[in-house]
Amino acid sequence: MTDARTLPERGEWDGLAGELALGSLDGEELAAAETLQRREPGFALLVADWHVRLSPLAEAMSAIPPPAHILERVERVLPAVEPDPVGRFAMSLLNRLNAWRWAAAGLAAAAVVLAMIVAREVLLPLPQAERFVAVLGEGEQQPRFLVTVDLASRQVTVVAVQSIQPHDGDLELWLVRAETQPRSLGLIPSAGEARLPIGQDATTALLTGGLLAVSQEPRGGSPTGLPTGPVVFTGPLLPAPD
Amino acid sequence: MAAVANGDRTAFRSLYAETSAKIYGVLVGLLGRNALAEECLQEVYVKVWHSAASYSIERGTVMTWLIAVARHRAIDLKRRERARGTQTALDEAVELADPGSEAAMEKVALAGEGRRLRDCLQQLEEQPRRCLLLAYWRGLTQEELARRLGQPLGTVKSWIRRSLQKLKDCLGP
Repeated sequence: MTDARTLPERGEWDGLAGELALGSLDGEELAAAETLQRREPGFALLVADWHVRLSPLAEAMSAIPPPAHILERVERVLPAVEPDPVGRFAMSLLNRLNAWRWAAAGLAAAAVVLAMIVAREVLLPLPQAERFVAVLGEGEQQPRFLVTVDLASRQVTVVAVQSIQPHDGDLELWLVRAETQPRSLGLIPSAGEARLPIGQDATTALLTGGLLAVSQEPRGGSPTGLPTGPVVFTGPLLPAPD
Repeated sequence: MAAVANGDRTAFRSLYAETSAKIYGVLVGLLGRNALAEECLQEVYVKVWHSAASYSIERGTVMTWLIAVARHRAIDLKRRERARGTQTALDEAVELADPGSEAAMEKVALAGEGRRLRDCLQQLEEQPRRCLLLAYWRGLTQEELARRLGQPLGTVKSWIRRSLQKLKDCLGP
């Protein structure tokens, strides 16, 4: 297991992300890069950018019609009816992502999709997920924050995908569940990246099915411990495989 | 794409018809024309079925996404095979296009952003460029590249790292 403390420095990230997308890494470097990709949304975005950048190379590979039996084999293993509820939950999130119109938003947005998918089988949530991801946006608007909650390292990583129009106050991140009061996860910056610690009482059960929300609060955060200002961005927490 | 996301088999079949030859070509390049490539293609499309809702509406982006998923899976399988010591003799199985050849570079230029990438690749020195292309097209790791090109591992590593940086600078934002 690669320890977080021995992971490559940020200055190394872009080169390493390129090598991961290229596929040239092996051994410990590969393990370190894959760990980074799972843990650091910022790194996963760099990998996705590299996939996009290098993708014209695939054009040079000859198209080869696959043997006819493969489609049959694929169809045989597809679910006979509707996908399971978890799958549908994931789809509803991804449908929303789709509605954000990646194409119009350009590379950065396409990179978010790639980061989410290429990062691993995001759509096959593990029952005992230790990591969750959420893409926070405003209604059908473009994504603004990419959030990862890592229970192993007790850390919430928040990446502003696009910088937010500043307002006179602070932005506060909340964990929202239907049956309990919103719980503050801390203040987040309107640009760049932030890490917030998360308490021992945050468990897989607490996060599963939860929602993240960002509210505008006075400087220093909500004075009451509950959201007081308008909720500007929301997104469901989705279990991510490790 | 939305139809595939909603569980429409007909839409799925037409997506498969449109994209599978390209993806299979990529997989054969990486894995050879064998059962492993077939298995990998199957996995990729099963995954497509389950995650179709994440497609962009733009076809170019769908291909990029499919290629990334396929390459990721193929490279993973390759490593596993290698670890088990059952790697097929890829070099014999696949006719290697010379990664430096003009024809191959012209094909790169066919893709939307390909012309720029081709121009930037051509600014690299020959050996480092071969490294990048062999890694992308054939899934060779830095160690295999070093062996194949008869160069020290450190040299190959720094070629790759520097070439990627140059490519990025050349391609711009």
